[in-house]
Amino acid sequence: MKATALERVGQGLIVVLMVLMCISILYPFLYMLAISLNTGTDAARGGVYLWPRSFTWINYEIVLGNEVIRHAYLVTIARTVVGTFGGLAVTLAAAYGLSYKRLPLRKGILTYVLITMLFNGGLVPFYIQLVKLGLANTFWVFIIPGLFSAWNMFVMLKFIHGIPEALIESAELDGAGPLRILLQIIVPLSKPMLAALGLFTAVGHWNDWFSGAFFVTDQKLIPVQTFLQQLLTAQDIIRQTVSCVPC
Amino acid sequence: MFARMYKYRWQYLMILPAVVLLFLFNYVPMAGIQIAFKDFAIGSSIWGSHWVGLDNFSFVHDPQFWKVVQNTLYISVLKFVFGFPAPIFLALMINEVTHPVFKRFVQSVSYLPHFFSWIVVAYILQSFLTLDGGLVNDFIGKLGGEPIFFLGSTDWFRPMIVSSGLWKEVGWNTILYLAAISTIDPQLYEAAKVEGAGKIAQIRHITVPGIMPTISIVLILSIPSLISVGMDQIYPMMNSANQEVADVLDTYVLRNGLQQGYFGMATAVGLVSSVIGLLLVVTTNTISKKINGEGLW
Repeated sequence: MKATALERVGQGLIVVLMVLMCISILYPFLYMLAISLNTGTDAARGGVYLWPRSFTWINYEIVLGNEVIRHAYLVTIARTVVGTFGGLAVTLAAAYGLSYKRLPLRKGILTYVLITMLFNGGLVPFYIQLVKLGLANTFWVFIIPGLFSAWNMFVMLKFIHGIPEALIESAELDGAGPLRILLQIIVPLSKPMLAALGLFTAVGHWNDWFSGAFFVTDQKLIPVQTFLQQLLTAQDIIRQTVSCVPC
Repeated sequence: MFARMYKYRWQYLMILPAVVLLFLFNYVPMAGIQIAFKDFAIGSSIWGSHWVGLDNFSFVHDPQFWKVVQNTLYISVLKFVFGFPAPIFLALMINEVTHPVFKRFVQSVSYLPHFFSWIVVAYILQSFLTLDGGLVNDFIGKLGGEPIFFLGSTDWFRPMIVSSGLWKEVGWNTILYLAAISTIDPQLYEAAKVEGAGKIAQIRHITVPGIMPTISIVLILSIPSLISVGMDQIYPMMNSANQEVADVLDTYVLRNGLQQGYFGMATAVGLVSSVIGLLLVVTTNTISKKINGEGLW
């Protein structure tokens, strides 16, 4: 059947809209790149849209040569690696344990997990607990509170239930213990799911500025995103002071 | 019972870390809510502090608090009105893209901003909107207009939040809808074509009904978040000049609690918003059970 003229116009319209959307997403990165490769005083005059006008590597040299920024990157990388692998391990272990449908108290434990998804104590009691446990102002505040994710556990649980039980039962008959089944059957079969959840966890760690801003005070512990956030705040303070000069 | 539990000792051992973590970081803080009714100061013990009744709830007489509630609702309703339908329309459009390579390209690009932090988004907005050579003010200047200080403007703050939120998440939020669309039986479309249904009719009568269950689940899940706008996005873009409209419940708790040390009062505010959030979840879940026959639990 041939497409009607109206449908063809619709098709064209969709393609145009999609192209516009892609430009609106990609252009900002191109723009930032151009500005970052331009000298600052020149960029401030405006007019740098696609291509640097007075080209320089100096901005990158400053960033990479800065001890504070390099250290911040180190913190970010460390927390992303440790937090992601640790988080997947703790969460997968729990999901696997709870995947045994005949496990006594299973319902109770699942409810115990579910409640935490619906209600929480709020920021202040959480912060006080971090202080009490001695986690505040240490590197581990980035790792330990986030090791277990209830949401990810339910995703994993659903996935594990999709694995044929016969596989697990035959391994049990061959004398494999739970740990061995987890490592040799569940993990290899869950690789795509683990990769996806691992990616989301890693992105979460990489992008988190909040815990660095409020749970640590030691500048040696701040991750990159917190460093960037502090710059934003500093700009605001400068703006306030500058605007106050005439008054 | 114990014999059976012993049989599962390894499974319990594997669950144990999760149970301990939830206890330490979720349940202990829940018990810590009593701070809302006590005169707690950091350094003293929560259980040993004196009960002060509803003293910490005196914020209800603070006009600033009501302004903050108003800001929160304003922003979250705006974000919902634009942010909820947008990914549905985008998913329907992406689904109509016929060229497979172009389709995959559009999808990948649309997911991209989701992976950048709100801090990075704030920097992008800043570089576009700044008075010092930002692209937007550059153009306004060329067209003969007066430059606008977007970043410190109370009028432009909400549009900035809504549009940057859309920009960052709309593509990512299409994933669920596209997945739902892919499960629709292609035979339905074939049959509709034979019956002479055009594209629009196919979308209206097959695609949209096919993703209705997904739409309602996403709706249920997004209603409770109406009470918390997400400080992640707001805080980086809030500054002294736009605080009047930018201050929301989460930032109010943060400022009074962690930064100024009014722990009791901040916990009380947090408690009120948690309870409202919980009520919203339970209510939407009940309604969904009545209408769809099934809820989230």
